[in-house]
Amino acid sequence: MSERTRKELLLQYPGVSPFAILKADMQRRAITYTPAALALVDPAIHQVEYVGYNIDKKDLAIPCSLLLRDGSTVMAAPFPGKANPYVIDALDGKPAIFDGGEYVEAAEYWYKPAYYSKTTSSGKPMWQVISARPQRLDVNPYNFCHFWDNGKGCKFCAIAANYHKHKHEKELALDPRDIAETVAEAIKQPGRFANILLTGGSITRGETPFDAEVENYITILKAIGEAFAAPRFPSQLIATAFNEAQLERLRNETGLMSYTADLEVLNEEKFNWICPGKAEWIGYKEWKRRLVAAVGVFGRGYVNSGIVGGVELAQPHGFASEAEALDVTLTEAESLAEQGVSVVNCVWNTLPGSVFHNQTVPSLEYYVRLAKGLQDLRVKYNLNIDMDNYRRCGNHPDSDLAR
Amino acid sequence: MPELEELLRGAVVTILATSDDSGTPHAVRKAHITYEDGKLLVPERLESGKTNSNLVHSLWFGRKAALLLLLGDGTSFAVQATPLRVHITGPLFERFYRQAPVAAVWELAPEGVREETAAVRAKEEAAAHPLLLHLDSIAKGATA
Repeated sequence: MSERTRKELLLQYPGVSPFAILKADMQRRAITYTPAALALVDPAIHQVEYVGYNIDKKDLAIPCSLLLRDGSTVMAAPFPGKANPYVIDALDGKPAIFDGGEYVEAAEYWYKPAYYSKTTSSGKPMWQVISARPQRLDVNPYNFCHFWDNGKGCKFCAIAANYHKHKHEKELALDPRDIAETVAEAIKQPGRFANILLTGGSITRGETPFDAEVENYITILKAIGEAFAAPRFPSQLIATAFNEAQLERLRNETGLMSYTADLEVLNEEKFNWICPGKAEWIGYKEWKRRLVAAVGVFGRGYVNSGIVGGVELAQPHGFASEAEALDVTLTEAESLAEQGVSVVNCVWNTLPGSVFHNQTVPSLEYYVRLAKGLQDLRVKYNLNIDMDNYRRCGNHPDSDLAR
Repeated sequence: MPELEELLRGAVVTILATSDDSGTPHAVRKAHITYEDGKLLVPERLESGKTNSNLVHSLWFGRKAALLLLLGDGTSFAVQATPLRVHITGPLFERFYRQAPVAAVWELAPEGVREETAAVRAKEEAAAHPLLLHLDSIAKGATA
């Protein structure tokens, strides 16, 4: 595929949301903020990130991320070393997106939820317990992935690097009571949240591998459930691919409504190279089998698998061409879709601290075709993606197209 | 557009018409549409509903929507409007949500108001197109 520009792709794919195309491009090229754009940030109103994790390090507040006019979330951030990022500048006193000096779109900073200024009864700032997206509570109860214990974590992932970088100021595991109190406080704000996500690193321990991870999630989900009158609440768990007994426990003992186990890359050979820990502990075929088994537990439309789209092109062992990578990925995604498992794509970002930090991401057209291909499969197999849509997640250009 | 604000206040029925990607129209009765700062604010209760989907795609692909306002005195008015933005979070969304649970609040840019009251429109069209009538309607002894 040749490197077509965003403008060319808008003409070439007139049925694909221009907002989804923009979002994918911003994610692959990253963004940068001008001083004028940062001057529009008000930490009293907006949800910000500070350079460094500690709240006391208030040297530079940057917006967590952006919203577009169609309600899309753009999870994009400044990354040092990115050659050609989109520029967020001020236009008529509001944030706006520019590319090569040309205005592209209006943008909006995320609003800070009310609970961010509260503390738990243990004295912990709630913003440190649960982070927020525009409509989702993000619970990350365990900040390390034990696939890294023998160095076999996923090559695109920076969780181990982040853990070691912040371990002196960020604990390994969250206290379920802190989580429960924070959820209870957060949902007092009318209309602010529509979903709760739990995700963390894989915990391999247990009588059966990953029993410890399952137990941890069950404890937390039960604690969260105390805040709701209904037995089930809109929620998503992104976790390891659990066996049937573990899945049944999650379904029967908690209010969890949907389940995700990320295959990351839809080809066994590339999976074995890129995700050696997942390959060692579970294996590609078994991971897929467990996803399909999860449909029997949670139902069609309530199980999906995330991929890091483009990582299958990493070198030296990835696919040699985008055309081949796309064909293999969509063929494999179809085999999952026909069994009730949806596939959603995260745009690959070569994260600092990851093994793949020096790799090159594929073309924008690759992401446009991947997004369209994945959504077309959902239409073909009548698969609902409410669980991971633009509002409940916001990190998948393909599920943005489901609106 | 001050008259639009007044018309919205006086409307007993408001109908919003949208279309999907194939051009198929969809019209529904809508309550609680307001006019603020030159924009129509349309609360939408159903996230997965046809109107919401049509408005999203209209924003993506540059299509317009139409409002029909029926007033208590029998007059009616049509407004074309372009979807500008949807609020699914933030202060404006929460303001509407506190009044009644909504999935979204749409900002539409109105583009002129046209009276659609049947008698008024008939008069306008007769003036603009005097040939477009049946002869019996103007025959001697015809009742108007």
